[in-house]
This record gives sequence, structure tokens and C-alpha cells, in this order.
Amino acid sequence: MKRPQTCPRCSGPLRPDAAGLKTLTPCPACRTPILVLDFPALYTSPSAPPARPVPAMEGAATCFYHEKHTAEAPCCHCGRYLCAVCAVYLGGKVYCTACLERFDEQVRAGKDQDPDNILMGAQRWNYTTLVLLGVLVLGFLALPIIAFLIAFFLSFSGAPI
Amino acid sequence: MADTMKNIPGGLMARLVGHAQGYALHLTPDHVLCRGNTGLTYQHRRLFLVDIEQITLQRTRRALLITAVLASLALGVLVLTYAVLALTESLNGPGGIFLNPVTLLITAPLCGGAILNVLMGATCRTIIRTRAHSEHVKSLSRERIALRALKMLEPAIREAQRGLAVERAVPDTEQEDDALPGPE
Repeated sequence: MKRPQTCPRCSGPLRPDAAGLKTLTPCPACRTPILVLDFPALYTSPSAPPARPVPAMEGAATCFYHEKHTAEAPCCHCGRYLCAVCAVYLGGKVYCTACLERFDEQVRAGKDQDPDNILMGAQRWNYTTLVLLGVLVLGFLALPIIAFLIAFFLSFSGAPI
Repeated sequence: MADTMKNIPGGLMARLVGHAQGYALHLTPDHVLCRGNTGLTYQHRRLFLVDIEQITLQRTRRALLITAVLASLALGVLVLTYAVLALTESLNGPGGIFLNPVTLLITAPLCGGAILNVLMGATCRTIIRTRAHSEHVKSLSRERIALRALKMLEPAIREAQRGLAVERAVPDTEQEDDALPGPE
């Protein structure tokens, strides 16, 4: 089954011929230059057998969706216990399908990106850091300019420096 | 194994400092070895060539940001030195502002860093995707190096996946055209 190609930054759909290009071309939605290389493995069916859930023992934690399956990991977003069938591993974290669907809806609606920017390797700026950095740089620039202006005016007033 | 393992461009720091820190890629006949090291822990990850579905390169603005910060700091130091020299009335002293020791010691490395950063080119974010995992390749963070690495990786991956039965190699343009946002 062919999966849709999406931009890693905005998760918007890419141009249909984006995979064949050899240079970075702008994404139609966010204008970020991007290069996508598709390989035949993308268009093949998964060969690995599906994960087999472990039957729940007496007193053991069970899956939120399957009460007869042993829980293997909690969803990192909603915290629900998940069995081998329900756990989806993405970027080293575990998500449940409900959270993934919710993120997908939010991304498609353009309301918000997923909280961890982990889906499809999306990347966003950390605006707090950028603002702090800007303030630091501006402050660093402003200080010597103020000192220079004081020195400049004092030199006209004839006062000893 | 050592004969068949090729170093993929990128991860210069990892190689220079004897693999003490950094991230590097190695290409073997059947897999790509991603070797990350924080100085305290190692992380080796094998991405088998037959499993790699997609490689994406996304240009980032990190190079621009680094250059702007370094240039701003250099300018700041220069203005500060000028102000101090003006205050102490030694602006026309020996050496002037540009040969001042403070200027040379602080501004020159900052300017050098900014120039080096410009010469290294644009930054990018490279992601190798398999069916189960997305690997952010930190060693391929410069666009020029990443494109050079892709020239090594792409033929190897295509060769490894030559036997795969492709279900739909030709994209269904009709459906994709519907999925794309129309002109506004």
C-alpha cells in the first residue's frame, strides 16, 4: 500500500513528483526546501508477522483496550496501558492509536502539531529559546551603544571622564 | 568486516576526537551502522538497507542563526571596545581599535567562527525512515555533506532492494492531486 508523502516540518502533502527530484525543492505548504528519496521498500507489504499479545495473568496489568492481554507499555501521551497489539512505537516512544488519530486530525485541521513533534520527524522552533537569545543579543548590543553615547555627550560637555 | 565497512561523510568531530563524542554513519554491505556517543554512553543502531523506505533532507535555518549570533557578538565586542577606548581617550593610541588585544582575542575568533560557518554551507535535518523507526542522522547536518552521503547511500539501498516486489511503483497521480490543497 502506498503511503502519502508528507513534509517532515508541517506534515502537509508534498508534490507527487517530489520523490523523483534530486535537489531540495520547497514544500507547497510551508515553503521549506526539502528533498525526499523514496525506495522500493516503501511500496511493499510488511513481511514481519504481527505482534502476538501475551495473555493476562491473575493480578497483572492489562491493556486498556483488551482486558485479556498483558500490558506491555503505557502510551506516553495519555498514559493508558497498551498490549503488543495496541502499542505503536514511534521515535523511541510508545503511542496508542487513539492519540495518533487525534494528532493526525489536529495536524490535518491545521490547529496544532503533535506535542512531541515526533510524528513524521516534525521539527519546530523553540520560540522561548529564540526570544531569550534575541533579548540577550540585543542587550549585549545596546549596552556598549549606551556607553558610547554617554561618552560622546560627556566629551561635549567638557566634564572630566 | 573492517574491509567492507565504509565511512559515510559527516561526523567530522566524531572522527577527529577519536570517537569520544558525536555521531557517525558507516556503510556495510547489508546495513548502515549509526553510531552515537554522548561521551558516557554508546548507541549503535543498525538500519538494514532492505528496510529503508525513505530518506528526507529538510533545510533548516540553524546556520543563519549561528552566523547572526556570532556576528552580533563580534560587533558588540567591537562597539564596546570602541566605547572604552573613547572613554579613556586612547582611541588614537598605538594599534587603534582593530589591533587592540581585546579586539583580537575576542572578536577575531567570533568572526572566524562566523566565516567558517558560512563556508560550511546551509544546515539541514536528515531523517532515515524504516517501517518501524525514524532515525535523525545528526552527522548529516550540513546540506553539502548530506548530499554527498546520499550519493553513496542511494545506490547501495537500491541495489539491496532490487529484488523487492513493488506493489505500486507508479504513483496514483489522480488521488494525490485530490489530496493536495488547491490554489487559494
